Amino acid sequence: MRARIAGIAGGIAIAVLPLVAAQPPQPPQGRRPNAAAADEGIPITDPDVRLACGSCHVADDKGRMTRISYRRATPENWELTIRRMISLNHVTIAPEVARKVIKSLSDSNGLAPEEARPTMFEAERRLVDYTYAGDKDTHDLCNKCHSMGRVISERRTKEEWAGLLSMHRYFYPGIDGASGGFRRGGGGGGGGRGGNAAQGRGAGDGRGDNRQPYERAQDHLASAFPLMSPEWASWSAAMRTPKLAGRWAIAGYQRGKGPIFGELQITERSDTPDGFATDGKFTYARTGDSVSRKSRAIVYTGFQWRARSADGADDPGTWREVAFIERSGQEIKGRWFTGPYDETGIDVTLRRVSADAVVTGTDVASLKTASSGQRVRIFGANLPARVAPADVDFGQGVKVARIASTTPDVLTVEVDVASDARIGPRDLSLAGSTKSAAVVVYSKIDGIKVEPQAGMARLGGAAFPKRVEQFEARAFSNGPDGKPNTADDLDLGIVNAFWSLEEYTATFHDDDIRFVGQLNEAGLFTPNIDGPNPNRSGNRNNVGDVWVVGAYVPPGSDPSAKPIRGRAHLLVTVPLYMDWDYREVGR
Amino acid sequence: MTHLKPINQKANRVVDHVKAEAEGPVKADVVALQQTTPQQPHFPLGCSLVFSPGWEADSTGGTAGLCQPVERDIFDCHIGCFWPAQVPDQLNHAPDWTAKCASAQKDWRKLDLVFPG
Amino acid sequence: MRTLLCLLLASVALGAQQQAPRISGGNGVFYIGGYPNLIWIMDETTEKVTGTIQLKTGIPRRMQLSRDRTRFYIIDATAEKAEVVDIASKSTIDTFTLTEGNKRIRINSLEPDPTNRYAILLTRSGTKLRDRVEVGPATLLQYDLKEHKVMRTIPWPDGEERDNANLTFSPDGKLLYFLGNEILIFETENFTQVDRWDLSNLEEGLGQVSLSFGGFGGLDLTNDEPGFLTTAMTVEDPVQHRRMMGVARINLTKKDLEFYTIGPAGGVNFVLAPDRKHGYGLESAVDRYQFWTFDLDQRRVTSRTEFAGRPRMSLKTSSNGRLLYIYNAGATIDMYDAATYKYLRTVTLDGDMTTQFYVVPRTRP
Repeated sequence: MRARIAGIAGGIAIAVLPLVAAQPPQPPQGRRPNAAAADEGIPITDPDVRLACGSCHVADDKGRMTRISYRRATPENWELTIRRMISLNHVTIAPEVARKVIKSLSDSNGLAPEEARPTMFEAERRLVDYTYAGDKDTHDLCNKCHSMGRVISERRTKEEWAGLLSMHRYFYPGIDGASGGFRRGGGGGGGGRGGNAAQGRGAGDGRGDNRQPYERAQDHLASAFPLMSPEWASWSAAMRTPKLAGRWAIAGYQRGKGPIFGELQITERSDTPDGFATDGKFTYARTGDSVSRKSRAIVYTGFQWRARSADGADDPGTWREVAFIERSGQEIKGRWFTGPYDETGIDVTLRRVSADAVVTGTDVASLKTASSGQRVRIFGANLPARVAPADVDFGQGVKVARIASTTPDVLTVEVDVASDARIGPRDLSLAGSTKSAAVVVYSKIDGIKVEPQAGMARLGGAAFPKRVEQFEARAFSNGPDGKPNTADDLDLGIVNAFWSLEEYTATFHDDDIRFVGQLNEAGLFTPNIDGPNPNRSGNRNNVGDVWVVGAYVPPGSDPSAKPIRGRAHLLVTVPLYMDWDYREVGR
Repeated sequence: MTHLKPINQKANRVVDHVKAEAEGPVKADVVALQQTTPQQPHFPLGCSLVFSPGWEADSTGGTAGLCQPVERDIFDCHIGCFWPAQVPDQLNHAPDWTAKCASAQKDWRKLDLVFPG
Repeated sequence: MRTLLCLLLASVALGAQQQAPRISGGNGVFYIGGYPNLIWIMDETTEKVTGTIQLKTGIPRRMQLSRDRTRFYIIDATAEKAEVVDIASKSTIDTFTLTEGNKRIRINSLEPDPTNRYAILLTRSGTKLRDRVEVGPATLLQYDLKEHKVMRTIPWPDGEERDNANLTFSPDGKLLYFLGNEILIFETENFTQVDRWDLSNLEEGLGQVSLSFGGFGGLDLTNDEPGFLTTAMTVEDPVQHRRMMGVARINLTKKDLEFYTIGPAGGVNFVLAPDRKHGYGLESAVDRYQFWTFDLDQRRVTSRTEFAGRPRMSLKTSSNGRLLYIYNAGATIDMYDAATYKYLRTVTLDGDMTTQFYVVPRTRP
């Protein structure tokens, strides 16, 4: 065994030959195996990584460690890999060393900004709708158990993609069959699991492709996400510690609570490479509540901001920050989140502030035509101390009637909107800074949308934590064409709706609404307790799906008018019994 | 609204669409979920898509098809490593996960949240 | 006096109520694999657990009754260890594993020959090397149960690796059947394939046939005549392209198949009753659960009735055919009257079941 590994000079293809030999004939490969493999692989020079990992991942004469050198990934993926080494391969590694290894490998074997951008939702822990467009079969196979985001967050050689799939099949033997569908499990002389009506199965899938599902995925991933790329070659040359120290204006949005504005200071930390600290404050524009916070960050791969809240010396990091640092060093954009399922989050954009004024946004998202004296607060930094109404330009049909108050970060104005002002967005300019589409002019609220349209909550409170779901209602106008759901529709911003639940009748005897949980007047849904419920038929859990309905009466409506309603679907389901959250990234 | 009650998702969409035409403001759900292929239920990202019978959702996107209750079948799930991302697997991450309870429906409170690695 | 009379009548009435006939499933014995490492033995008449067999290899996962009904072959939850349990003495008579060092051999199914001398194992290896893992192909092995040695590797028919093997021996052990839409027949001296029986094309004009073998946990041949298999089939005819379900009675020895269609195909399984004249089925769809009765003499589905079921149920008949047992995981077995489909009662075990179970009749076939 040892001799065989030591004998692998330039390629790791040899170790997987037995697997290849046992397969039915493969479709022809696009490159010569060993010869091409001999040129690949990123040498690892960091002594910490060589020491921590080198006893199993032996380095060759070019410094290429087995497996490690043939893969690039995000910090999150590297953390999961190291945790697998601990839990599945019985490696002992101190947390401090593990963090160094995560940092080192994220830098030497990371993703380029262009490669990482489409994967940010995964690191930001967003529950979005993502469909990998590259190959449906691969998407379907990987998505069966976990988010596809994990897969697109790495790059590997063909042998390494094969190694990844072998790892799945070794540790989860059932994955070949019912629990994963890695293999078809058919052919003559086989019956398959389950006592349902017989299903005919033949070799192949009728397209003349005899490969097993996992082999198809392997081949696709190797061609779509190879180890080397021009983007990485370019970035790994340019990569460096970003220059971030200074003032940054915060503009963000928290679902259910509305926009936030504020400012923070980023300073460099000397106790860890590429380490930074933030100290700042932000305010919820709709309520005036303000939050002071500190955090500690590490930048991986020269652009991946990962931080944890550090409000006290022993703050366990209840809030995490994941953001993308633009190459210009002028903007950092991402998400700050918390909660047992990272479900509570604020979308945040940081903009560098120098001496010039910068406008970051307004508290009010929309302005009605034919109105006067509407109060608007304009947020930013370095706003001028003396402002005349004419200095604030909202564009066509909108006039600042009066300046109510000025501070360096908030300018309060009163605004008149003409009755013939055209409906649509307006860019806001002040003191040389312009915020595009800062507000929207509308004449009539045509409806409200409830978001998220497909919500999810998880029961908890007894053995496992709850996942809450925050809903919000946003008003909209059909836009100039007057038709709903067309490209010119206008989003008029968050409104306070009256919230209620309605039964989503998936079955005739549906009684979910009695068990799933409570929706409060702020649109926050808190699920019920986990475990079997003896008060429910069949001892069922408190799972179910319901409609979340928002009802809104626009100000100035006829008192007898029916409220405008919108609804969303909410799935209240069982907990996750495993917590895969990233514990080391950002530390 | 009317005497007709929709009995499936497609019918729901028809009702909402008709309503939208009549009353204007109410939007049908189908619009907001345009990213999914038509006629497919929606499954939140990361939810298991193995519908035997399903962990977070059954094959229709709801909960009526899930095990009743999940604790009834939890050993089966655990021993068979059937939900690798959702339920601790007996083979690798949590060989002793059920050591404190012989019957999951009774002793489910003794199950721990597992932090792999 | 009247009060006394009332009391007397009341007590008679009460007594009569308490003596209402309780339908029994028979006088067989339940063997149920359970958590953490045992087999419960339950008397079918009293529905009480009368004893347990403690297992040496841990949590049982697959349980298989030998042909002569004297022993169980059990595969544990890791799929690496097998245990042979003698029913009469309620003790383990053998354990074995093929795993060696860092090479794990997972046994996915095990079929002992009728004389219990050897077993056919469907295995797959997983080898843990220092910095990688390797997963081998599915392999069929003939394993000597006495010597604990692999006698030979049986090459796959057509060299095509398969992931499942529903295997059964002929009653005399001379032939091994590989069940599927195509039944492959091997002789058991040298394990060469001697025949192949393509069931998917039974007759001109009939269309594509597919059969299912076994429900949760694999084949249960308790009720079938030795050498026969009764199972459900689906047919899609070439003219209307209509999918129909039917029943097939396969005579393995004669390579003969009696079949008939019964109605439109649906998600119904099929379980043969002990009298071999009836079958029962479970149709399971969200919020719609039905019991079906198949009359095999009349070749019809004689009743279909909704009942308050739940997702994930499996069905077995009691040894006298009068009760239907609904189970699958958990710690409960629900009893239903096979004639009326009425729910009768539930048996609750001390722990969760981890295998399918057998109801072994006291009378030999």
